[in-house]
Amino acid sequence: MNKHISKLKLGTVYGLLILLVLWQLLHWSIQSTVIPEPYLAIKRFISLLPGTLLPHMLASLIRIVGAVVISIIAGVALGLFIGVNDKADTLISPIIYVLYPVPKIAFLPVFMILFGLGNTSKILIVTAIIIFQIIVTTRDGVREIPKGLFYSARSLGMNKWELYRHLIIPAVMPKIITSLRISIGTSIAVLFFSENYATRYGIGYFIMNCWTFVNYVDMFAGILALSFLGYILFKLVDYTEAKFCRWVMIAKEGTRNV
Amino acid sequence: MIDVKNLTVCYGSERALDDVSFTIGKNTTCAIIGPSGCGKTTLLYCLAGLLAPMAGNVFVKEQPIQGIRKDTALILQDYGLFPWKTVWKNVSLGLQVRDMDKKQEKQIVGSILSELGIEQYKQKYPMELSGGQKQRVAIARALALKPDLLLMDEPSSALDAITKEHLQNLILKLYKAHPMTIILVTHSIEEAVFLGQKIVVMDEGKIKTILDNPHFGDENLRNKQDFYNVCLKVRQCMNSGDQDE
Repeated sequence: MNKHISKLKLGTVYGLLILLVLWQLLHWSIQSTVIPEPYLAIKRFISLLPGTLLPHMLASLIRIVGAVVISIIAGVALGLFIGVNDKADTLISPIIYVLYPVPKIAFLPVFMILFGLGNTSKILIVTAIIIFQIIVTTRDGVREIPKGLFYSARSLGMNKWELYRHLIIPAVMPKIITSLRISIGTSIAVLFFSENYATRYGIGYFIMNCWTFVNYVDMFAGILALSFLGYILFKLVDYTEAKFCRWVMIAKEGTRNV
Repeated sequence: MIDVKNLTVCYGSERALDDVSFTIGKNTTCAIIGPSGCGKTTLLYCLAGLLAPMAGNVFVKEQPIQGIRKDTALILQDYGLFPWKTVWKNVSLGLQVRDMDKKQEKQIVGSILSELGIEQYKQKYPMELSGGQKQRVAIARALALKPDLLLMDEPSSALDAITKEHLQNLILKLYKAHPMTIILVTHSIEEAVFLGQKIVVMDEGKIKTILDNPHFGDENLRNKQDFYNVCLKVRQCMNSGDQDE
């Protein structure tokens, strides 16, 4: 396990180095202020972080966490419900399948009119986009539980709630985590979009504001902050997986060693 | 102890069990043997209360079975262990569901794990264990409930020949140490003869023959001619009526 972690850290350092080299090469080849030198951008990022960037990052983080929490609670509950209940599946799944591929971001103006220009519409548009993935993965996760495990659980005398606690939720947990990992990238992209209206806080606002002022070094410091935010969220998901799905980690180790 | 009366189970238009009746005495063992699809697992699930019959009844201690019974333990063919729980948590699960006092739970799980020689694996997950070890965990989980009726679905079908015999010896030893009624479903004639005091031969949802096995209980049975005589008898029963095919 520790070996694996140190290998992962080494991988991160390697990835960052390559990224910096590519960035520097791009800066040299384009010869334009729109791609500033990495050194300047990183220096600016560090100096702006405490007073300027942190409040923006915090505002964005609160919106993303809000959207993720709502999506998980509502999405998992609905996913479990239609996964367990065949009738509900017949009634609800077709609606989800029709709505799933619709680009929800196009409804941003509708969200703004219905839920106001503040945080509510920003959080809800992100929720609307990521919740479908969570509903569908949870439902499929329930479907994939081997029938034998249900027999096993029932023969031990479990009631309905114990079935959820000991069997269904632990079984779908790794799937939820995977869908969360995919959703986080999407949610940051959507948030960036939604922070371009009616707010003075949020990393999306900061980036676009710097762009308006043709301050590309600051803009890149903002992009770094947004990437950093994404990285933290990714790590948070990794931590949750390690904490609650230890068995999955062991299984992954096992296949890696084969 | 167990009284099966005119049991019939259908899957759609197919009759998985057709008017099956037999009795099994208290603290005896019974092996149900037959080819795949003969209805033996269906019968076991009915005895476990997992399947409701279309007609007929199963009585355990004179009580008709309606759903899961507290003192019946079931070991499934693929062990039915939860991959997200450690060995310890898998074994304690049945006790936890029964709201047993934590201290008592710890003591029971600890002693059953050491009795089965799997104490060193208590913090491991099922995927880290071999087939034989997993089967021991499944047996530990069943025995922790102190059942008066233990049902096993092909306990050794996934194991290699040597582990298979070890496991059968272990089941016999446990039966002698903990008196209970054991019903096991198998397609291995040797297993049926080694572990079944009564051998029920099934085919196409019906009972063909019920044989009594007077040699049951001898740990060295496999080294004796009598064992092979009974095996041959079971084989002949299974083949009888197939000559026309």
